[in-house]
Amino acid sequence: MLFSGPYGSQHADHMVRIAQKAGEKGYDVRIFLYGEGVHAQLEGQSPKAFLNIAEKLKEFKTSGADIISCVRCSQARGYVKGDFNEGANRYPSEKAMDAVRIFSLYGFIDQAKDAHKVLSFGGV
Amino acid sequence: MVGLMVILTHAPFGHENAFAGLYTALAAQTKNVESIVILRMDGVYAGIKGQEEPMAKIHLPPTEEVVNDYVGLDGKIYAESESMSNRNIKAGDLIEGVIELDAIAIEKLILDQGERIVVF
Repeated sequence: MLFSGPYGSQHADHMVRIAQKAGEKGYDVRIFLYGEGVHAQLEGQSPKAFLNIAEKLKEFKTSGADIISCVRCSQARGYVKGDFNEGANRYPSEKAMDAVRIFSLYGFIDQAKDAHKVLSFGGV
Repeated sequence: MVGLMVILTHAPFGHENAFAGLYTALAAQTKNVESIVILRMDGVYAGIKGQEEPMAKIHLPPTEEVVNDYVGLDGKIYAESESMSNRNIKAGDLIEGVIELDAIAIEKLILDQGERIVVF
């Protein structure tokens, strides 16, 4: 779980590095963006001096990671446009990258309930 | 091991953390995933009863209501006694269902039950 934005602290950077190693070791990687962490789903990030968190999320998705963003947090921050799309099982967005599925907090519970480990970044 | 352990270290208002953590625990309980909430450091303020309805004044969501909903779904919530005494919070100040535990018992709980921990 990422609870802080992609830049401004090292939490997101730390999260993607851990996720990268977990994936390399054969773990299924599941990422939930919560609170300010939902800003990591913004399409078009172009940091000059930091690791591009968006690009890393896309890489994880290509590798099979499940990446969900909290719908309430996303709505509050302007990412959601329209009602839930049942066919796509996600809320629509013009700003969020396709690699991230905007869904309810229950998505995190489903990700976590049978996980080997749960790690949180940015909550403290 | 419980399905999810949520540790709150922030007071309920001023940061989103406490509400986000309680809401996460409530979601787990709603989906029949057994969870535990631990209030430590400033997180113990989230266990105090009689909070005013914050939406009316400061436009923040009511954590006491979420605690009550969580306890109503048999969620377990513990407040660390050392953090409480440091802040002059008494057992009688706690919301019904919030249980005071000392630091040793809390640490044992984390070590014994905390395989899936989220810290807010």
